[in-house]
Amino acid sequence: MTSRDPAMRQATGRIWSPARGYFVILSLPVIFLAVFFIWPLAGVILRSFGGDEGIFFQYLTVFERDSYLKVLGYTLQVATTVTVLCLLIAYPVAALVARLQGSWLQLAFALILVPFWTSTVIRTYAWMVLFQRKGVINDALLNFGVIDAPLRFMHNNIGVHIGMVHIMLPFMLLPLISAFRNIDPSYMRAAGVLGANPIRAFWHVYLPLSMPGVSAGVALVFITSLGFFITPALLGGAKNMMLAVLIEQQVTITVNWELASALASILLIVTACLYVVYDRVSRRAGGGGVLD
Amino acid sequence: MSGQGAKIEYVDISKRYGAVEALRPTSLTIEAGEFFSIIGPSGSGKTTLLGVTAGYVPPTSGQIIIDGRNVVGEPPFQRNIGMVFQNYALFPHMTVAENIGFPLRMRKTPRAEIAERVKKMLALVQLEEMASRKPGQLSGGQQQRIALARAAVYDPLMLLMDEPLSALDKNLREAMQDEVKQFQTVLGSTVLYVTHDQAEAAAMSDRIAIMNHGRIVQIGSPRDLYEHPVARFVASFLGEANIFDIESVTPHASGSMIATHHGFSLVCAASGSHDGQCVCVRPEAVALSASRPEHDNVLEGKVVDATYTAGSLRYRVELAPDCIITQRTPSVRGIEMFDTGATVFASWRAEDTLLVDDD
Ligand SMILES: Nc1ncnc2c1ncn2[C@@H]1O[C@H](COP(=O)(O)OP(=O)(O)OP(=O)(O)O)[C@@H](O)[C@H]1O
Ligand SMILES: [Mg+2]
Repeated sequence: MTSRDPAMRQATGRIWSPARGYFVILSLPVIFLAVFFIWPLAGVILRSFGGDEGIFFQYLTVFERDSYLKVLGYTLQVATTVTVLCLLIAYPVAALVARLQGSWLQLAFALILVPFWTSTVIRTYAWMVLFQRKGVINDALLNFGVIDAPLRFMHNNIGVHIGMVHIMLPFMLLPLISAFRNIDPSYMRAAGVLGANPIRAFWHVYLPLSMPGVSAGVALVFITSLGFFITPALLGGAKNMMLAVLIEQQVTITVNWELASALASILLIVTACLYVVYDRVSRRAGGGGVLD
Repeated sequence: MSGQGAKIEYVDISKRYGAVEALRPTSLTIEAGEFFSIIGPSGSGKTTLLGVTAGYVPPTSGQIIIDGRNVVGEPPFQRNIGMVFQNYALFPHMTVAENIGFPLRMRKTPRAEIAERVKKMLALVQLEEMASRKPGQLSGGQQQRIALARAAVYDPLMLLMDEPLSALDKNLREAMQDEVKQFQTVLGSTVLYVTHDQAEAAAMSDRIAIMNHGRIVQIGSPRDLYEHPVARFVASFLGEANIFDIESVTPHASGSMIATHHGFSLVCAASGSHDGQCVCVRPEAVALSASRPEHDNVLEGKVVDATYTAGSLRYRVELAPDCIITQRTPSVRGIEMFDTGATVFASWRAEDTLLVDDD
């Protein structure tokens, strides 16, 4: 008799829980990711151990040759510098934008998001137009007599850094703005009334409260920069190469798929390790983990 | 730790946001060590007055003189005023002890002294064992007490509190009223307390100011305001009031005879003109009886509603078709209750017919 009662049946039989609802919703994207992301990735890792010369041959090659390690070191250095520059530029801008209201806020968001409407390739070509020997910047500097001979902006460190900071800036701005907007203005007001001058209020209250946004933005920009290809490929030099560019060369020029796979796997492992360390550190520093 | 609070004088202080006059020119003196409350409806300018006092809202005009010194123009961090915010504003990334120690740290107090004073404060609010917790791990009442401790730890000239108990449930609110009051007595500080709960203000304050539309309508002790309201707004904001509109006033042996809109007349001890005035009678001043009594004012009516609430009886009596008054008597054991529909006589003294401004 009781089993006829739907409520009872539900209570005794399959118990509904929110987790089951999530499972249904999540299954499609999980299948999609498995087929189009995890499977090819596994393929890359497997291939890095393939080849005729033995399982670890590619890895031994990478670690025996200075040039490959140099590329890895340069990649880490560029990613770090770009992340720091983005943070320094984005922090004050985001703090300002977070205070805007209404249509000013919408305008600011539109300006931040406009770059997403144009592909990275086109934006990088735009920098090439500006940076050329006879580009807009050199012309202007020459005309105003600031310089006598055209400067080199492209195919060196400067171009790569400027281009990458420009591309990465929105990825730093958005998490920062979101974090700043979550800081209740009454905290800063309270800090002031309690005796903190603006600088100390910023240092002791605003900065710590903004750490979740900082750690999210830093993780996003740093990790994306590590594997960045288009901008370093177009604006970078032959002397200093980033890892993604090297991998591409191994595939298209040298046609060494195994070595390319090994390099890609190394990049993946380095990224994952740095991510774990970073998450631990920022959690300990009280800013909360990247994923919080 | 304890000391006498400061005396604070507002001289024609005002604040305007564009077209909104949040605070009209207001002058007010709060004595040293006084517990002074401000009550008023939403948007009447209470928070604005606190903001101007704390220094994060620049006033449009006027002076604020604390212990003889005009503080207008000084930034908040130089004013040495303590404040409990409505949402407490406890820093979520600091422990309870760090929160309380924060104002001392900003004043470059030596570490050992900070630790000692924080401990004393925690003892005063009875939360010693919570020192290393984060605010998020405390209950509302505990957070409230920490906010109080943080606002008072540096011996501020005065304590500002913006509806500090409004987030708590009723029982806890009443318990905290006593605690806040005791806290103030122990420290001897001057307190400016904002609330929109008139019972809360009456329970704690030496004096109360009632604000409306950015202006102080009346200042007085809780009893003063209740028994001698100057305006209809005060009378109906503070407790219950039966208000009658005036038709005409004629002199009378014991004061004046007031004809109301409802056809009956009332005897009033005071004499007044009826320009811009109305009559207020408190529910407690009215007596109900089954037979016609001898009294200054006697009106026949019908009981339309009778309710019993903790400790008192409350009747709604219809005196005229569109005139229902409220009456209240303490319920003593064995008191006879009138039934709904019963015919009764409402009576009160001439002194209880109050003439107030009909703003
Ligand atoms: N920053 C501001 N900009 C514009 N108008 C404001 C600002 N702050 C307050 N006001 C206006 O000033 C008036 C008084 O506001 P205030 O916050 O002092 O009211 P209150 O008495 O504290 O009300 P409540 O009981 O709701 O807290 C209101 O009309 C409000 O809209
Ligand atoms: Mg308010």
